[in-house]
Amino acid sequence: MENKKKLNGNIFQYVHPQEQEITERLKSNLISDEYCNQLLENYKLFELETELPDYIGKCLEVNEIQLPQIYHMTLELAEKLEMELPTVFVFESYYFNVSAEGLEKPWIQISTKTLENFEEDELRFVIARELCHIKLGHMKWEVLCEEFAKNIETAAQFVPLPPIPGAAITGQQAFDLYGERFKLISANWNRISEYTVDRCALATCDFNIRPAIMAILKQILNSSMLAQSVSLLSFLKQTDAIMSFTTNAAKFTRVDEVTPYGPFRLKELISFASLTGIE
Amino acid sequence: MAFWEIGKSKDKNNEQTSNDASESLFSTGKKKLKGLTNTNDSKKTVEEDSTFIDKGMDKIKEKSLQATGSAIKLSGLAIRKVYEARLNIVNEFSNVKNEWSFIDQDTVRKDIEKLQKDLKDARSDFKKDKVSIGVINRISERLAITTSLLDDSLCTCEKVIAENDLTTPFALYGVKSLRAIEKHDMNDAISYAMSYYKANGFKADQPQIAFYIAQNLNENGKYNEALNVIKLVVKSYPENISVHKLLCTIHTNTGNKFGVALESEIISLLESSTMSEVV
Repeated sequence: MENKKKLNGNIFQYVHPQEQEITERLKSNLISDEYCNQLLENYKLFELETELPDYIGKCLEVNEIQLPQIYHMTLELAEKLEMELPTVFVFESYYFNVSAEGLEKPWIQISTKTLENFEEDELRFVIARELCHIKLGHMKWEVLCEEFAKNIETAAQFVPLPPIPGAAITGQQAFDLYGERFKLISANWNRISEYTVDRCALATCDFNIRPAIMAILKQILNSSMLAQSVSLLSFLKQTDAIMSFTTNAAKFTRVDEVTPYGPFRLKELISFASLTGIE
Repeated sequence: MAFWEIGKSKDKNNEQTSNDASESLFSTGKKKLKGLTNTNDSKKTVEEDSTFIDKGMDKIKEKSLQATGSAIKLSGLAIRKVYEARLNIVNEFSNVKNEWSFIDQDTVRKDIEKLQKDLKDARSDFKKDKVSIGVINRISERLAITTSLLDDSLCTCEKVIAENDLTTPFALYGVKSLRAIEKHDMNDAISYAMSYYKANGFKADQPQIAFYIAQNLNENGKYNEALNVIKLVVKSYPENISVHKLLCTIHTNTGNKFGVALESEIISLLESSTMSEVV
């Protein structure tokens, strides 16, 4: 695209308007700062120690010699975002999958299927998304959501609680209900963070919208062939069909998702792109 | 005596002692058994014992039935409590704020319900001199505008205006513009739309009318104003090709090459039958 809008380094201006509010809500449901610090310490001491050797042992680490094109692409994007270059691993998988993991020194992992089937600009977009997750400090909240959910499950099994007086439900059931509610709060946060990184990645990739949309479609459908067959206009209209389900059960199933539905993501991305073009 | 012999002689002694003790117990046991089985007295004891056991079993049955009944009641209560708690979670999360800004019919209906409630409360407060008539008019107008966003709802919108005796810009001109659009009378539609825009302090709060206002402003060389007005339309209907075409025209007129390129790409994506046809 000619005359691209250049990113001025301030990715934070593109954050979803609800992100701050939902992050505060998430924080208030994580009991306390002290408890969060404990969870993060546990993650660093146990989870990282078990995960990282696996990645180094079972995946291909991207560097200037191994997959240099990916290395230089990631380096260029990291420089644009004014951030440290994270390690990138490539792992074997049948799915289109790119994600950022870790905490203080996060890494990015890309599946072989993604590398083999994505065009260069599409790869650039999905890598940019993960870099934006890291840059915006999402890793801490992602780790906390996972660890807290696990903790509730463990506590429910091992912490014997008497039935709650006057409530006629057991301690186990109370933990289960708390866990269900927390799961929805963290799913809400996750969805907002996905909208945010879609926007930020588009801005980082100079508002190159076609590869961004293609990359999202490929990831949702897990098939290049299917993604090529999509009529964007028809796909976007699927939001009407989804919203026509108005029962609470139907609404509940929407808020249960950790990633927004594809038609919603793309509509918002197009809206964001056009509005930025106006600014 | 060698040291290994000392232990042996001691063990031998212990063995003898323990053998004698076991033999003694066995003999006593045998005698008791003989005593139990050989006399009439023992038969009577068995009968008495059996009656006693039957009576005991009846009591146990009675108690266990009582306990089971209580347990069933308690578990029923618990199930209901858990169900209610789950339903509360569903209600809480099915009414969370939308993460997207485009218009969907379900959100419009929810907004209408809320505005109807707000209007009812405002009317009640007005009777107690707590709010002014201006507040009621603003809520009524908001209700009328929101109602107009529902599919095929102009009659309902006009009814809202009539019921509330509204004389706001939307009531006087906006709804007439929408009627004209419905009848494909574009001259009247634009005329009423511009009257609404002027009477409303050069603001366009209804996206369908805003489109025609933006179009008119563009045709009259008021490009920056047109860009300002069209933002609401882009947010509300990002999948609408006409919106992007108008935006592209405005960008062309303002010399915004980035905007032109971006909108051209979006139009191309929306107009193509499938993604594979997009160049």
